[in-house]
Amino acid sequence: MQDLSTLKIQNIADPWDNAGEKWNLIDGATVSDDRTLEADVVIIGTGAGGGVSAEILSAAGLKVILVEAGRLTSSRDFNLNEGDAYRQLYQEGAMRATKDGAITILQGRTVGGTTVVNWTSSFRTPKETLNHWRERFGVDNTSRADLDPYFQRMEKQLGIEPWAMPANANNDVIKRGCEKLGWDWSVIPRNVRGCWNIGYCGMGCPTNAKQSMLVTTLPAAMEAGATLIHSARADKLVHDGTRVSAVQVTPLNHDRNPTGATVTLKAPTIIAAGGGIQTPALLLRSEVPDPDGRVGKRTFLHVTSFAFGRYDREIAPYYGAPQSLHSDQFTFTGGVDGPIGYKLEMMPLHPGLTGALLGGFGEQAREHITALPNTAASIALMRDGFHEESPGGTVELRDNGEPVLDYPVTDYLLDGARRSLYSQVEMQFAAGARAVRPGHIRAPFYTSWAQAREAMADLSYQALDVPLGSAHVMGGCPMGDKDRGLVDAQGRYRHLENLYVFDGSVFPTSLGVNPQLSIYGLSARNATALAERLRA
Amino acid sequence: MDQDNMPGSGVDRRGFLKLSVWGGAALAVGAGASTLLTGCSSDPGPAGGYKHLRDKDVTLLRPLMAPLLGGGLEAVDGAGPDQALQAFDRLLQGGTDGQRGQLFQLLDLLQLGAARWWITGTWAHFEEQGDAQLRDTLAHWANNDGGFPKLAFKGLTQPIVMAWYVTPEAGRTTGYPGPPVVGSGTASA
Repeated sequence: MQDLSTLKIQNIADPWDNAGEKWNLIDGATVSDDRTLEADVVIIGTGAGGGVSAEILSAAGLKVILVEAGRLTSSRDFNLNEGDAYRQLYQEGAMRATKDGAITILQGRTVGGTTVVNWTSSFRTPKETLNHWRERFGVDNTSRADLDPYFQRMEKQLGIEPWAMPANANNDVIKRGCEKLGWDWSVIPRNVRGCWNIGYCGMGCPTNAKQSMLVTTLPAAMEAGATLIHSARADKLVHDGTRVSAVQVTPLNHDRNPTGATVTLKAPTIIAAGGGIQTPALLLRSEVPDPDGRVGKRTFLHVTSFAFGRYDREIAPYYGAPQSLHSDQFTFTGGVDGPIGYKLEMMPLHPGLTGALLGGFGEQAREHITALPNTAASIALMRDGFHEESPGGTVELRDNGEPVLDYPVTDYLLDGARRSLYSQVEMQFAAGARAVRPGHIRAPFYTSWAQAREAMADLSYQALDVPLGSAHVMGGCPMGDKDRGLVDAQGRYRHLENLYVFDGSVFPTSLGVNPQLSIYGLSARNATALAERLRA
Repeated sequence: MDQDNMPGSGVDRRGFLKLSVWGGAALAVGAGASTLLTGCSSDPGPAGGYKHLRDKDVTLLRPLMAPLLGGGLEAVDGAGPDQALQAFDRLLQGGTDGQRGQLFQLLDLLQLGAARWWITGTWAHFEEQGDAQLRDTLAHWANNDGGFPKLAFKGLTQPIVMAWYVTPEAGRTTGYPGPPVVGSGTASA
């Protein structure tokens, strides 16, 4: 039986050791007096877009202030306790869901954003997706040839390479199943250096092997003189309808409640990099000019279905690199804009998340969760946003200003959910599963593909019948030409002259791949161009 | 399709979302949403020893813990319903005011006999039901094909189950040996 519970992880070098002494670091929880800070550029958010932008702009000699609603935590704090990780590192404590409760959303909330908790899969944006953006949304100068130099640069910087070690047993399901069925599969490139292969990417990497923004671009920006104010929520952009003059920030205490102070950040250039949901929410709270009412619309999720397989041999889905193999057998099968396509991957299972996803109650749910060591979990990421019946969701504000995503689960999406469950169940049986259960509240564990195929035809596929999740929030502030985009391809907001958006909210559709490298590459390209303009 | 309907759920989506989700449901069972469903954790304030759950929530949920977790409580030495509720309260600490407000509205709703009848198929308060009856109540609720009861079941039980199994003690009862040890100490509870 695999058991890493006696493995000791210690003496790990942490770039944030003594950060308060060597760098310009402000903990919002300690700010009780109103203050104003000035810089050349204010960046709101420290995830994939904010981190990359901060490094590039700081290196160009510009004075940068980063503001982050999450707290600063680093490898010293990552104790691999699932509950602590959700509470400290995830939006809404990992309980974020769409407005009608149908889709659970895992998204980071900490210095480094989702890059601190993602599962390290790093793909370049598919050509099909970029071509679609050019044809349907008028996104120019953003072909693979335009972006490849930036993808290459980020891959080199973050150590992105196909995973060289053997896949864990969970991911090996992809290889065995797809080989048997003659389906496509390949190795996932991961952003790691010296990875210990322990499997805790989702709880903050305790060894700093994961090349998240926390250990790469952000320390580089700090070293170059950037200021980071964390535990501080950007509430509003102060603007006159043509320019943003300041960002109004509320420092938060350890319980994430306002300390009572207000921090005002002033700069001639403002970059929104809060990611999908948070960036549109900031723009909505700020009542920015938006003549066509596009802010927050067309928010996409790579809506994800699940299937659980039980195997005679041990799977130990909690240990080992969480994602190392994937299948594109169904990603573009129906064309770019046909019936929804989906990418097959695996997900790591730790007890809390497993309990939530398995659903049910009582003795049967208990029986399911106690089979955890022999359970594998596949996922299918559906490419939303490419078809007219896939308009995505809309970011709205609760009365207190918090965002909530209204994402109707359409028949188009449910058709994809149904097909993706069939694919996953077939793949897991082909991989040797003794029993497989599609993610559906009325489905049992089936004991053969023949039995499953027949029984699954009788299931209803409706919102809330099929548990759905998402770890990829995209869109809500889309790139496009002036008739279709809120920002241009360089990330400049079309209706406020000094506001830029460098994050995943600029994607006009979802991607068809895990998004981090797309955000890194596009942000690197646009931040480089911005630095050149600002220095000129 | 008509996006104003949740497919097949029989729930008119626009009407469903017009108020907050649970407030709309309260109107449907004839309660005065504005007065009954405060959805506010500070009114009347958290129960002793809790940061978020109120006395009435603890009373409402305590009887559900053992049948919901189906042996998961008993598997941990010395654990009982209150440990599960404490774990739930800790999970809620990671949430936001707006999100917790929605949960409290659902819990307020479940205090009403008419709502319990509609959602779980029983008028009786959970506190007045025996173990076998509670299992039947949960089974009836879990198998209710109404869109709203399904949403309520998921919205309440999913975080409770997650909260229990993220605790290291409960996590280890699933066969998970636990995480590596970081630093010189051991992981906290």
